[in-house]
Amino acid sequence: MTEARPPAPRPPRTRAPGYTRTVLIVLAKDARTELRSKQTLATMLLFGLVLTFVYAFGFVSDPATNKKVMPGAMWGALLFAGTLGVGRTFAREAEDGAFGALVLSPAERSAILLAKIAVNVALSALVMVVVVPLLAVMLRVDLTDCAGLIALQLLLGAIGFAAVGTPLAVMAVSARFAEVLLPIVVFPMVTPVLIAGVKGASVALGTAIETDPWPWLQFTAAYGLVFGAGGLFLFERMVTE
Amino acid sequence: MRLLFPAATALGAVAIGVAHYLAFVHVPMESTMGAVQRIFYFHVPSAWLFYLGALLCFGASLGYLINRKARWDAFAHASAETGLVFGLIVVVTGPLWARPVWGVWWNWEPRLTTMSLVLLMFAAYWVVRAFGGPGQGVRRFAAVLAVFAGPSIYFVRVAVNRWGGVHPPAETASRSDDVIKLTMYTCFFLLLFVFGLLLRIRYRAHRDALTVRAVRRRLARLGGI
Amino acid sequence: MDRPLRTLRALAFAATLSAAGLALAQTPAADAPASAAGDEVPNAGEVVDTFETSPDLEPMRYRHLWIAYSAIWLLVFGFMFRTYKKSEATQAELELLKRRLADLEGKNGD
Repeated sequence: MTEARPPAPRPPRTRAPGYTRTVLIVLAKDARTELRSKQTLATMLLFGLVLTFVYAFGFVSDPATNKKVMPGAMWGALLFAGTLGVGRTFAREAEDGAFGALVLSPAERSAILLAKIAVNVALSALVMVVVVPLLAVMLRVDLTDCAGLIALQLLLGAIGFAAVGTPLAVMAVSARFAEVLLPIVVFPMVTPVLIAGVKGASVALGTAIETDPWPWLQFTAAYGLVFGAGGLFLFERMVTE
Repeated sequence: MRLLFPAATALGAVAIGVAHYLAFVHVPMESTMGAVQRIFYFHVPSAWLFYLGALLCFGASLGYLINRKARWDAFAHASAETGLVFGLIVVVTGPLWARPVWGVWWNWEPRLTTMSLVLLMFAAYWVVRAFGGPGQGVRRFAAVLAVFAGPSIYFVRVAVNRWGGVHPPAETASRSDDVIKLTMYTCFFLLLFVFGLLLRIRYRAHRDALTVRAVRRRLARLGGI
Repeated sequence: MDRPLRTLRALAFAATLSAAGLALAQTPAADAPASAAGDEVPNAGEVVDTFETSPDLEPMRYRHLWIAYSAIWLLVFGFMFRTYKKSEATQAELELLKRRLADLEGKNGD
């Protein structure tokens, strides 16, 4: 005879946090861990500094030429340092075996991606805040007149780059040679950002024939929007299990 | 049935022969460019076929991401490879034409730049497929890559057009007279046949490899081997 | 994930895409004058019919072209042939595996 068992305690009902909250939670978590370990930021910064020296030794010349070289140097630094950061997006989760948990959690996956994109943009922005003035000093280019414009261009460019690079970096994790494959894969795709950025920066510095920097800004913004939307939309389909 | 594909391949070889005849013997010499212009009859159709391969890869990859059927992925893989073969033809023949006509092997002309960037994207796709290893994750990665390449190509086109801002030499093709156009289209369809053959055989190879893996897994589960 | 939200997101996606496209279309694509990049692009302004061909080189180029194309097509067909051979081998292997699978399943079934 089996006596009637007391009803098993219901598991506590877990509700997925809302979309914005998910973004904020993941963002806060990443900010906290990054502030504690400073791994990614430190490596990116150091890489950016090394790059400035490479550019300085490679290109420093007369002032006029320096001014023409400056946009390419800035945007090259953004792409290279950015690749480093993007490649590390889910590195900590992968090391701790927490990636599966993050994906399995009831949180919406695109919210996680959005937070990760924001993290990558913030990291690139921090690196560029250090690297660009340094490049300006080393190449002896005066940026004071157009600092705001160039900052805006770089920010939009960083968003576009992160919007493409972050989802691809997540996907690349399961491939062999992921860290080698990532730049091969990302660079051709972000060429539009590079072209727009370099052109826009040379407009800002006054070395181009055009004088209106807005079309290129608009172009970069559209790029970031389309890829951001596409990535967020597809992310649910990209990552399973 | 077993002889169907060899027979079709033989037909493809004949098609290429016919295309050679049309391009090198049949068509009259173009007045301004002379013999080099004959490159066009292979160069331009190959470019179209490269973009066709890219388009098929994009569509099949999107389909794969939605329905998760490995065959769609196999098709995407095959069409990327086939497209790449024709893209290589474009890149090899382009400079051959540009050197005598423009005086340089390479020119940062919008069409050229776009083409080379798209080619780089699909070369990257191929590298991922070839060296990334098997497994679902890599397949999905490649699919996302192909899907992202779609809008990316659009942006590359716009950016490069604005960057270069030079007249594309497309006029040279549109200016040509009827015989030249007709030959061009005929060559396109002849090459399309070869494209189809290549796509078919590559698709079959990838699909069979998938089946072999699946059967192996079942065997291993049943304790065979 | 519930359906309506998905559909909504798909709509938002499409809207963003088209909005971005519109934004792009509105920027005057031709605002860069044709001469804009002229100083950076070598031979930029050169129109195709200003070139010169030397007639004595013509037949040679012609022959080279022929050879180049034949080489390309040989490569393409070689590639096809190799894939075909490999595919045949895979088919044979598949037959073998399937037969073994059928044997095993027959044994397990009894």
